[in-house]
Amino acid sequence: MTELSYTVDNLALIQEFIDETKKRISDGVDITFTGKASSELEDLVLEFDIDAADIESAVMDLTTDNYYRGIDPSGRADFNVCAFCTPVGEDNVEIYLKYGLEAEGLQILLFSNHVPNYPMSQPFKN
Amino acid sequence: MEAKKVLTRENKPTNELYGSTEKTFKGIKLEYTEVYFLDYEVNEDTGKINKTKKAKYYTKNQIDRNMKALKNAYLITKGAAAPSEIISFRTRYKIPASTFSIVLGFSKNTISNIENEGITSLSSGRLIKMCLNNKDIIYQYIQLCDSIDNNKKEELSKRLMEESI
Repeated sequence: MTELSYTVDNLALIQEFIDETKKRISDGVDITFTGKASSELEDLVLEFDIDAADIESAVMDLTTDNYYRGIDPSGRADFNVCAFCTPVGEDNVEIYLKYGLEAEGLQILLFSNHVPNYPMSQPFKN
Repeated sequence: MEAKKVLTRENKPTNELYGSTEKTFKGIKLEYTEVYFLDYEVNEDTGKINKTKKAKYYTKNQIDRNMKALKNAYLITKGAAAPSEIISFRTRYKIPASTFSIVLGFSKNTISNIENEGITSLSSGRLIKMCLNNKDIIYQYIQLCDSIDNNKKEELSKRLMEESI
């Protein structure tokens, strides 16, 4: 996935992505999980008692500081996909969170939610 | 029974599907029935929809139900009572769910909730399991219960103990 450099324009782009996500959720759109995301959530449920509501809360709390990778700036994809690193649940477990926003629709599609295998850089932090 | 419907990305109704699934967690094999629906696959790297292949997807409601079933399966392997065991015990001794709940020290609806939605806590699940495995404990709890009258206590105790003879 593309890592956007820290510029005013890119910061605005990520902020727009986050704002659009929050708007969709506030308007009643539920997150849809892929098979992979479902399997990863199984681990989070059993290991840390983290559920789908915790994931949704984490998405609602995202800021540009949490940005990790994405979005394809070409705008040609059916989904704009972006990845973040964010704390989740009561114990603030850091997870890798990757989801897409349907460009011509309203779906929020969660591709990944798991504890990262390595420390993640957060290029927009600080 | 008519299958539940879920809306696809294109807002077309599709059937909710069921399937048995397995998860291995810390060496323990867990099995439960998951619910899902099918929709066109999306490549997570390119963000493109592949209109020639369908994949499993889960609504939030389906995920919640699946995770509850998974957790329930996990707690049962850790010694909690399975909802089906509780139902079968109650049916055998003709004990209403609300009465059984009160006798064990829970609130009125707890046993009924567990039977419908599964165990949510290991401690409760284990307590129930211990009681199901030892009717003397239940007998004792019936005698100690303040919320049921003496006639009911006698009737329940009789039914429990008749089986033991």
